Amino acid sequence: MPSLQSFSDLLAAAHAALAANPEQRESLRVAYLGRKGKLAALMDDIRLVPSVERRAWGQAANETKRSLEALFGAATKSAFTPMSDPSMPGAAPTVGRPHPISQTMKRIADIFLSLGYSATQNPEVETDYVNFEGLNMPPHHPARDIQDTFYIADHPHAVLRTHCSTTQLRTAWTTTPPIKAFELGRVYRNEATDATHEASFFQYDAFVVDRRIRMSDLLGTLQLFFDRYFGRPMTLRFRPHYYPFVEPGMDVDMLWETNGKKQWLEMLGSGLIHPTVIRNMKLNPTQWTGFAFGGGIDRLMMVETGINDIRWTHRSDVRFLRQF
Amino acid sequence: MRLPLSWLKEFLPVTLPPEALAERLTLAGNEVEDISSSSVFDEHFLVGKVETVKSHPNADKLRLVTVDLGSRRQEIVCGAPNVAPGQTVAVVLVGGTLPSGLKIDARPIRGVVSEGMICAEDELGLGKSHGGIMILPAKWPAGTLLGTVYPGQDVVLNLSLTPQRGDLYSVYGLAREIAAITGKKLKPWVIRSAPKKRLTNPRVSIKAASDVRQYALRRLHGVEVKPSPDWLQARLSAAGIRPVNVVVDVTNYVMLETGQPLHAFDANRIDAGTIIVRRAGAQEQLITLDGVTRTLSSDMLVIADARKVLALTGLMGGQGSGVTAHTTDIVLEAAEFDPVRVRTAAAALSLRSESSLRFEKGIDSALTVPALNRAVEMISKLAGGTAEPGIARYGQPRPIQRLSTTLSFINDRLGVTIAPAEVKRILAGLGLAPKVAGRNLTVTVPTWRHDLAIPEDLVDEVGRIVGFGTLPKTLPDASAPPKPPPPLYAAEWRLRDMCARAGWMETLSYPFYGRATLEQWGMKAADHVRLANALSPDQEFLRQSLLPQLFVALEKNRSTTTDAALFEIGHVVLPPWGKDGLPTEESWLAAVAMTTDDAMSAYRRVKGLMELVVTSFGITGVTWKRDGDRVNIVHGKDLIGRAVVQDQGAYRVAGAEISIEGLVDHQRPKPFQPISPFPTVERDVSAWVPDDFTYEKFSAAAQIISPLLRGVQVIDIFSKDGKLSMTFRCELRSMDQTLQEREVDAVMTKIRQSLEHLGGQIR
Repeated sequence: MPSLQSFSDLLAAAHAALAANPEQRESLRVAYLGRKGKLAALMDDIRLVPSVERRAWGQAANETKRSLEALFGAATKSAFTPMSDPSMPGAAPTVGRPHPISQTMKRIADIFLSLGYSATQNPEVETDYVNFEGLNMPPHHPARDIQDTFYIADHPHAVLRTHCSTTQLRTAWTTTPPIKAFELGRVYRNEATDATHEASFFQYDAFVVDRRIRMSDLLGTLQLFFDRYFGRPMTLRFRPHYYPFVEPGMDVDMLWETNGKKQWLEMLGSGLIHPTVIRNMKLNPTQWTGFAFGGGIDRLMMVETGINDIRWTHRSDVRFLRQF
Repeated sequence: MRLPLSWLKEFLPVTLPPEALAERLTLAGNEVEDISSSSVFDEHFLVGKVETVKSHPNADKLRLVTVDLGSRRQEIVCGAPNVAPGQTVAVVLVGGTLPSGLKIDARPIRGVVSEGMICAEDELGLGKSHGGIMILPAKWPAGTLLGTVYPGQDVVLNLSLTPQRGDLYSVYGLAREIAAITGKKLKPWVIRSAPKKRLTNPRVSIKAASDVRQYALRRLHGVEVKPSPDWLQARLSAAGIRPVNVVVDVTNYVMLETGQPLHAFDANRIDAGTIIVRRAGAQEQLITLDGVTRTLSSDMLVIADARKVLALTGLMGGQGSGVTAHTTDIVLEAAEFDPVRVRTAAAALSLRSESSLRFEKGIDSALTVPALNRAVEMISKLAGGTAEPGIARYGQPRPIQRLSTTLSFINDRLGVTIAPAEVKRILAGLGLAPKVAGRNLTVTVPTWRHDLAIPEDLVDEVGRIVGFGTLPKTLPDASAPPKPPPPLYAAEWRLRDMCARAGWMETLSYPFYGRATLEQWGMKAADHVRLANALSPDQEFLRQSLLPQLFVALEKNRSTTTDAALFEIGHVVLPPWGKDGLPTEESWLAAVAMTTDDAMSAYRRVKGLMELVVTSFGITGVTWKRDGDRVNIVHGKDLIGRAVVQDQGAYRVAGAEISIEGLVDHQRPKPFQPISPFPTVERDVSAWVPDDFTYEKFSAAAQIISPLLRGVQVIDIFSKDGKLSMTFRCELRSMDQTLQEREVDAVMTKIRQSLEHLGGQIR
């Protein structure tokens, strides 16, 4: 028959065991207090205890249990299951993503929309007039050389647009000025493809038409655009450049650091809208003025991400698309 | 345009270091691409004498050339057709690096190791010609360092100029521009001799007056055609032009200095009685100086004598009338031609020359005759010979134009106030002779500026010299009210996000394909909008479907992934052509997926995405109907999309595409669906189904069984012994109560009966 002494022996053994191996508190707790632990085994013996002694026996059992609990602390059996190997890799979710070009477009669109510019969408197959002549590039204009053009067979007055500046005429024709608008889209150049040239790529074009638009307004808007896009103040350089559809015209370079080396990167072309173009918008150039700027979406994407070859855009390689 | 600084300094004191000068030029709109020394030849570059030329044992077009390099001989493999014994050539030995950065290695060419290379002038950075190897004057002994032939004291700015500034394609024009930028004083360009008498032999006869503004000839006799003096050769080389002989070199020198192209005829090889400027006859031919036979057309302008065409005006002289080593008498020509006439001929013949480049952009009208006189002066001095005292001359320089604006116009457009004196100083520096009267500003447009026509041009001139970067930065106070975006704008972004969130990867493919592709897809080339000048036959037609390119895109990913799922949003272009002169252009969404499972799994995968899309636009009543080997997506009577599945060996590839216009047109608000507070009961039922069984028939029947049946999904399909089994998961739910077992059983019994009615056999 078990004696009450068994309980004090058990308690003493528990004290000694914990003192010897304090780091094994949890496993000792289970060994003494667990469902199949030593206390439980002892308490099973209650059936052997004569009924008159059972009360005292039960009291001793409860006291021992409380003492053991005090000794080992509250049950640390948590709500959670401990992980045997937390370094196991995660199960990758199936994630789709917009193309990095689309992601870049979205960021550009958000900036223009926040500045109150209206989004426009215009055709990719365009008339020669809207793409060239109306933008002050009559036939035989030398500037047409710079933009090698895809022409449509049997429709000599149709071209694949070479820039998104086509929005300037099309939007002005359907909008009462003042106008603030932008277009994002696919453009085409008939040139052999290499790391920096594509037969089809993506551009943004933004323009404002109002009563008294100044070069300083263009500079301020460009600075704001690049600061917002990159999320920090950017250093820009404004370099005079000839474009038939603006006067004055300029290129914008941005100072960019790669591998510790700073260099000027050409980002876009811009200027005050040429009075001939204002006239072709069916507006009076003595009353209306404007600025316009446009650049490569691919260019922004490549500069920021370090993509070194424009041809990745159309390669449809999942290993590429997955990275962005 | 290459600008040797030594030449610039003849007209202007330049104190800025080359880098600082380049920066100032660039910020004034004249981009300096690089700064180089005119000679980059180290000890690997030697003068060689060609001794023997043998054919290469393994290649018809290659030769084995033995070259004497003074102290030794080398065998070199050479591909140039013009290599011949006795020539003096430029050799780069193994270990040397060409100006392009190409390092010369000893590698076998078709089995024969070449110990170096005989260079063409473009390879040496001395010019653009790659017509053959460069032949040096014979006076240089074998083994001479090439650096001695082309010494490199000169610093050269390489400018990338904009097309409207023809005046900058000359040393003097650039000097004028730099004077305006730096505020330094420009020395005048002086020409002493100016004949007053008229030259009668040859006479000038202009038969195409609208194409020619000025035409002038002078004549010299007793000229000795020999190599130019070293200083002249060095200067031309530094400017990127290959020295030829003293006569040709002087014409090039004067062209580089003034921008006025000149041409020299051998007076004894032409019928010098009358020089005619006329349109070419149709199919008339001319062998140009580069040895190419050119077939001309009637919109081209030529120089001719009474018998034959002598030169293509503004482009290139003819081989039969040019100066040779035996020439003694020459006729020198300077002219001003219509830029568009030169440009169209250059484009038609794909022939661009230093002179066509200058004519196309517009030359300084006032310098045509002085430049001619300058060349005559130089040739008499350097090549002996006596100039005839007269000049044959047609036309006059273009009249001087004036341009008026106000100071406030300039300030308003720039957004800054610039002092009137500063504006005057800038414009005077550019040679525009500004006059200010009150608020009015008037300038004289000089003969060399073809790009100044409107007041905005003066805004540009003042702005670029001040520097656009110095202007304040403001924002327009435009009050333009934002307009709602175009109808498809929001839809495209929404679809892009939705497909990506569903786990599909967006891609972009080229919007054109070739005939073979469209025919494979059962489309007709004749229905397609075709490019007149496609880069290649497989990019000739504008796409009418996004799927062909997406199938290719998937295939490309096979080596790296087995279950790629891609989507694209893009335009398709198709007839009919509208009144606006443009074809129909539509925006479509396409999705493709591949799987190693069966065709049905592939199909259901793309259909699942499209169903998500359609439902999200609140569209109901879309059906997917078989049409031969394809499936049409139909809404009412409208075909809004299509789907196809292809078996590709180990893979099944499915694609579906849908018109975004179609989605937007049929879009409906999607109201909130009440959600039952009571639990849903799911019951599965499996049956062997007959061949003519379709899900559509079953779901139509199931729909009228009970309002408690809220949905039926197919969760398993398999076939065994030629029989097809399907397992359906039925979802039952009430809005009012928790369903009782007997209610569920009653519905399921009807479902089983309905399946049996359709020929099914419950498993």
